[in-house]
Amino acid sequence: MTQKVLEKMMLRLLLPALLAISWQALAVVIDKPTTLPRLEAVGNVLAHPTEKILITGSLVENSIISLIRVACGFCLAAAAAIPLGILMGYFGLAERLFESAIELLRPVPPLAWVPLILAWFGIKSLADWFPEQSYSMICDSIQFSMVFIILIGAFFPILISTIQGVKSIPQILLESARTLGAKNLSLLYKVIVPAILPSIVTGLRIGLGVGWMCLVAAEMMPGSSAGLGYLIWYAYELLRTEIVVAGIVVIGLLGFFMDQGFRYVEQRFLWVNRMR
Amino acid sequence: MLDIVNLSKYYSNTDGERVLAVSDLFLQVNRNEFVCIVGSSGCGKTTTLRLVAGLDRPTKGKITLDGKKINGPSPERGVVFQEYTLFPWRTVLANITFGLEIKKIGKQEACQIAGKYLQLVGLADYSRAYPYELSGGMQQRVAIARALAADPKILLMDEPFGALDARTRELLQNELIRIWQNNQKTIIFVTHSINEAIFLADRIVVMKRNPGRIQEIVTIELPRSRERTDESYKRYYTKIHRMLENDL
Repeated sequence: MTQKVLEKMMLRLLLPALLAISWQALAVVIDKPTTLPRLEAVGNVLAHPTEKILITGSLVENSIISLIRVACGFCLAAAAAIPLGILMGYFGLAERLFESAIELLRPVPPLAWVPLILAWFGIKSLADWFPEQSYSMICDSIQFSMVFIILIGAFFPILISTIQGVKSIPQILLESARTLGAKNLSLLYKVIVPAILPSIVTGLRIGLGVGWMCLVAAEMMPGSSAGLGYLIWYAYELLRTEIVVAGIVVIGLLGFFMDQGFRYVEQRFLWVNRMR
Repeated sequence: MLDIVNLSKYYSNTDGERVLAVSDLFLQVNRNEFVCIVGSSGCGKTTTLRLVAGLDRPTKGKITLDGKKINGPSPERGVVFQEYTLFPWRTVLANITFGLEIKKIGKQEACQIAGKYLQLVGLADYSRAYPYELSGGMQQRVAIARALAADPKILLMDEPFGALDARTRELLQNELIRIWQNNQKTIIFVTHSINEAIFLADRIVVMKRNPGRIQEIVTIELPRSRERTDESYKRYYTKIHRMLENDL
C-alpha cells in the first residue's frame, strides 16, 4: 500500500523535478543570473520567508497582503454573484434581464478595466475609510482598485456555476418540495441552496483561481506598495530575477493549496457523484 | 370529499399549439376510498393528478377538497411521483422530516413521527442512509413515508411503481394496501397497469384520449386481501382492456 502511494508521489513529482534539473543546467550554461537565476539563489530567497526583501516587506508579509486583497475581492464577488445567479437561474425574467449584459461583459479580460478603474478609485484604499486604525498598514494596502479587479475576475465563474446549478435542479424535486408545503423562502433555503451548494463550491474554486491570477496584474497598478505581484515587478526593475522566480513559486504554491482546499470541500458532497 | 367539477385543461405544446389535455371532467372521490385512474398515454391522467395536486391550474372548472377550492400545492395533498424525488443531500430520516420542518414541528417530535412512518414502510434500519444508497423500491417506500408523514387528507400517486421490477412492484402494492387500510387514507393512484388497478382500487376511472376524458368508471367488487390469481380478475381485466383497445 505505502509502496503504491510512494510510486504515485514519485510519478507526480517526476516532471517538476525534470523541469528543475533542466532549469538549473541551463542556468549554469548561460551563466547570466539576470536572465535565468540559479535554483540555489531562488531557494535562498524562499528559505528566508520572513526576511525583508529589498525595501519591501518579507515574502510572508507580501503574501499576507496579497491574500487579504484576494479574500476581499473574492468575498465581494461571491456575495454579488451567488444571489444574482440564483435569481437568474430560477426566474426567466431575471435571466432575460441580465443575460445580454453579462454575456457582453464576461469575455472582457479583467485587465482591460484597469484604466477605467484607476480613474474611478485612484489609489484610494481602506485606510481612507478607517484613517485612525492602528492596523493602517494593512488598510493602506487594500486599494479599492485592486479589490475591484479581483472581484471582476472571480465574479463570472461563480455566477455561471450558480446559474448552472439552479438550472440543473430537477423540476420534479422542486415540485415535490412544494407538495410538502415548501414555498418561497423555505424552498430557497431547504431545496435550492442545498441542491446548488456543490455547484457553488465549484464556482468558488474556479473564481478564486481566476481572482488569484488577476492579483499579480492588480498589484502592478500604480499606488501599489506591497504584495506578491508588486514584489515581482519591483524585483524585475532591479533585475533581481531570483526574487521574481521565488515570487512566482509562492504564487503558484498558494494558488495550489487554495484549490486543493476547495477540492476537498467539493468531495464532501458525496451525493453528487453517487446519484444514479 | 374531493370534488372535481367540469374540469378542463389546455396546455401549449412545443409548437405553440393549444392542446386540450383534459375535457369536462367530473369526479367525486369519497373519504377512505382508493381510486385508480387508468388509460393510454396522453389520456390526461397525469394532468388530472397534477391539477388535483395544485401543481397546474385548471383552464376551466374547479376542484374542491372538503369544500375548499384548490389553488396551489399543499401538504394536505401528498404526492408520490414515478421519478425518484428524494432530496439527495438528506438522509432517509431527514427526507421524511422535511414536511414537518416546514410545519415548524419540533425536531424531536418530527423524528418520532418520521420514525413511525419509516417503520410503517419497513425501512426502520435505514434512517441514516442516503437515497443513493437505496434501491428504487426502497426510495419509493421512503417517498411514500415522506408524503404520509405530512399527514395529508389525500394521497396522490402518479405511477409510483412504474419504474420497478414486477416482483418489487407486487410487494409494494401489498404494502400500500396495508398502509391504506391501517391509516384511513384516501388515495388517487394513476397507473398504466390494469392488473395493478384491479388489485388496488375500489373504483377504476378509465380515461380516453383526444381529448382526455372519462370513458367509464368501473367499481371493483372484490373483497379486500385480494388474490391476484382470482378468476374474477380476468373478467375485470377483459372489460377494461377492451375499453382501452377502443381508444387506440
